[in-house]
Amino acid sequence: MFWPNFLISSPHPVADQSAEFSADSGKLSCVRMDQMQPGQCGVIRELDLRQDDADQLKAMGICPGRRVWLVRSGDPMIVKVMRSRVGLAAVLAKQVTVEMCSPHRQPPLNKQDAAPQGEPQP
Amino acid sequence: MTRVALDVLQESAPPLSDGLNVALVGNPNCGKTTLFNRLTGTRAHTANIAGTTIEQRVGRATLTGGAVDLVDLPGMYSLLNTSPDQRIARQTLLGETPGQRKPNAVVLVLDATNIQRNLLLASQVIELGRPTVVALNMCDLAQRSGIEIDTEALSAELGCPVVATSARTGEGVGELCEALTRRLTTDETPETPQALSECARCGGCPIRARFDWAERVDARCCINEPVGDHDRLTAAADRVMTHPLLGVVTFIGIMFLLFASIFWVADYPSRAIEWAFALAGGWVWEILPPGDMRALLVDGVIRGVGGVMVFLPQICLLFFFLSLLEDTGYLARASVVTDRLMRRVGLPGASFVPLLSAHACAIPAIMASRVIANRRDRLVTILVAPLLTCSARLPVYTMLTALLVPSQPFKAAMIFVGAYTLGIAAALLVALVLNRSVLRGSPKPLVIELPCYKPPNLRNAVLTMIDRGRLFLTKAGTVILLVSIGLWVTATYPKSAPPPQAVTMQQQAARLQASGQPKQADLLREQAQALTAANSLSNSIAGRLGHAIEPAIEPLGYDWRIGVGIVSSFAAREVIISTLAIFHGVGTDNSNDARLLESMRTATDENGNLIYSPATSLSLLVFFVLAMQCLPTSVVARRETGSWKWPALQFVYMSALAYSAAWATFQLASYVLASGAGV
Repeated sequence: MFWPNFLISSPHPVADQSAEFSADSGKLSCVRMDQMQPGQCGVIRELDLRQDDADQLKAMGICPGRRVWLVRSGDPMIVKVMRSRVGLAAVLAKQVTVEMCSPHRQPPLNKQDAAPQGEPQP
Repeated sequence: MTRVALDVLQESAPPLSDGLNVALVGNPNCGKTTLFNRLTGTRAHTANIAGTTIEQRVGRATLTGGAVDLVDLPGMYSLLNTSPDQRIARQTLLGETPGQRKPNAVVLVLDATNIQRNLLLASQVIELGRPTVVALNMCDLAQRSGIEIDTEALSAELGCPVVATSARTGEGVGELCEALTRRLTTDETPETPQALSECARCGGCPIRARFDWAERVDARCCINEPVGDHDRLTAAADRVMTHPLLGVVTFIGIMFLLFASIFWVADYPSRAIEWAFALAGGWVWEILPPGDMRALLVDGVIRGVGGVMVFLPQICLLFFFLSLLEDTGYLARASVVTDRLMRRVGLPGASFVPLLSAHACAIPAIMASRVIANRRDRLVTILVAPLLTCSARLPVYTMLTALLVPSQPFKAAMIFVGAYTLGIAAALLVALVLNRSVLRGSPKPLVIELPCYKPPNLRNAVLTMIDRGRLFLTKAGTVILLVSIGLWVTATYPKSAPPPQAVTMQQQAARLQASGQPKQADLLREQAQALTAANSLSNSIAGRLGHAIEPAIEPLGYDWRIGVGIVSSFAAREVIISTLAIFHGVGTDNSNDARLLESMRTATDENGNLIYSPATSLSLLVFFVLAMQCLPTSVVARRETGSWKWPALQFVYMSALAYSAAWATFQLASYVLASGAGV
C-alpha cells in the first residue's frame, strides 16, 4: 500500500537490479526509461519519438549522453537530470532507451564522484 | 550596497542614445521575470509578438546611462526550429520578426543552481552573434546550496561578460546594468568562442554535442559543488506533493484554501465597488433630466461598467495567488497531480491553470489557455471552461438557495457544493465526449520541469495581478460594456404606455397628496411605478422574447418572467436577479434582497400556482450551472479560436445540455416532491 512505502522510501533506495544488470558479464544493459526503479540511474541512449517531442525532451536535458535518476515511478513519472527534476508522461518515457549505471552507484555526492570515469562509454 | 555601486557608476557611465532595445532571454524558472520586474517595475505591460499569440512583456528600464526598452521573451529551453515559439524567439533576437524591433543587446539569464542545463540555450543564443551580457541569476540560492561558480572563467568560455545576480534580493543588478550599458555603448561585434562554434559545426546530434560542451564548461567553471543532495528539502516536500494519494489530498486542500481566501478577501472590494457604482448611478439620476439619455447612462453604461468592475477583485486576487503558487514551485507539482486525472478525459495537464481560473470568470480562463501550445488541447479547454462555476453565477445560486432552503446554512452549503461539483463533472464529461467526437486524439503528453521550492516573490505577484487586471479590463471590459448596453436597449424598447391600473393609482396618489396624506400617496406612487416598470419590460423586445420562448421553457417549470430573466442574463448571469426584481415589484434596488425573496416566495402565476416552486428553483439552478449565458465569453472565445465555429458549438452544446438537465431535474423533483407530499 501507499503508506509504508511512502514512510520508508529514501530519496535513492537501492532497488533490485537483477533484471536490468547482468552481473556475470559485467556488461551494462539497456532498458526503457519507464522500466527504471526509483533511485536507479541510467545514461540515455536513444529517443524514439517524433521530432518535436524528442527535441522538447532533449532541450530539457533528456538527451543521449545525459545521466538520469528516477525519482518517482508512475504516470507521469519524475526523473532527475543534471540538477533539475522533470515530470514526464509514461508514453514518452516508453520511447526512451536508457543504459543502466552500475547498481552500486549513487548520485554524485561531490565533484570527484561526478567525474565521468564510471560512466559507460558508447 | 547595490545602490551605492549604482551612484558611483552613474558618473562614469557614458550616456545611452535614445530608442535602444534590449531582449531578455532564458530558461523557464530561472528568475528571468523577477529580474525583468526589478528592472522595469510597474512600467511594463503584456503584449503579443506581432502576428502571433505568443505573449511577451515589454517595459522601460533605467540603466546607468539612460533608459532602454526591455522585452521579456517567453521562457524557453532551446532555440530550435521545430517549435514555432522558439523559431519566433530566434527571429526576434535576430530582428527578423516583422513589426518587432531588432534588439541592440541581449541579456541572457542563466540559473546558477543548474548551469549545465541552462548552457544549452546559452550556446544557441551566443551563436546568434548579438551583443550579449550574461546574468548568472539565483546566486543567493546557489550559494546556500554550496554551489560556487567562477564568473571570470565562465565569461572566458562564453565570450561575453558574466555578472552574478540575484533578482530576488537585488544583489548584482546594479553591476548588470553597468555591464549592459558598456555593451550598448561599444560597437565591437562579439566573437563566438571556438569551442562553441565547433560544437555547432559537428554532425550527429547537435543538442548532445552542446550538452557535452556544457558539461566541460561546468567542470571548468564550477569551483565547488554541493555535498550531498542540494535540494533535500525539495525532495522531501515532493514525496508528499507528488504522491499518488497524498498529492491529491494536498492539492484539494491548497485549492480549497485558495478559493476560500479569494472569495473572502474579494468580497470587501467587490461590495465597495458595487456601492460606489450604485452611488454614482443615483447621483447621475438626480442631476440629469428624465428621459432616454438618463436611463441609458444609468441603467446601461454605469450599470454595465459596474458589472465589469465587480469581478475585478476576484480576478486580480486569483492571479495574485496563482503567481505566488507558481513562484513557490507548487503549480508544476499540481500539474503532475492533475495530469493523472485529467488525461483520462482527454484534457492535458497544461489546461489545469486555465480551468482553475474559470472558477473566477471564463474570460480570463479562455485568455489564459494561450499557454497551451497544442491546438486540439487548447480548443477542448476553451470549450469546457464556461461549464465551471464562475463568480457571476454565485448571486444567482445564493438567490435560488435562499428560495429552496431559507435560513438553513448547512443545506445551503451542500447545494453550493453540489452546484460546483455538477459544473466540474459536466466539464470532464464534455471533454471526454469531445475527445471521442469532434476533437479526436490524445492530449499532448506532459513534460514539465519541477523547479526547487522557494519562498514566493510578492513583487512578482503584485505586478502579475496589475497586468492581468488591466488585460481583463481592456480586452473583456469593452465587450461586456457593449453587450450590456445592447441588452438595455432590448429591455427598454419599444416603449409602451403605462397600464390603466397604474394611471388610476397615480391619480389616486395625487388625490391623497392633496388631502394631506403624503405617506400613503408615496406608497401608491411606488406601486404604480413598479407596475409601469413591469409592464414596459414585459412589452419590450426582451419581454416579447420571454413570452415567445415560454412554450419552450414550460417543460422546465419556468413561466415567461423567468424567460425574460434568462434572456436578459446574456449580458452577465447575475442580471436575472434585477430583471426578476422588476417583475416582483421590488424595483431595481439591489439592496432589497430580503424583500425580493419574500415577494418571489409568494409570487403566483395567472393560474394561481407558485412561480418559484422548489422543483422550478432546483431546475433553474441546474440550468444556470450548465447554460452558456454569457455573450462576452462567446466574443472572447471567437477571438481566441479565430472563428465563430467554436463559440457556436459551445453555445449549442451547453444550451442543449442545460435544457435537458434542467428538464430532467424538474420532472424528477416534481415527481419526488409530489409523492413525498402524498405520503
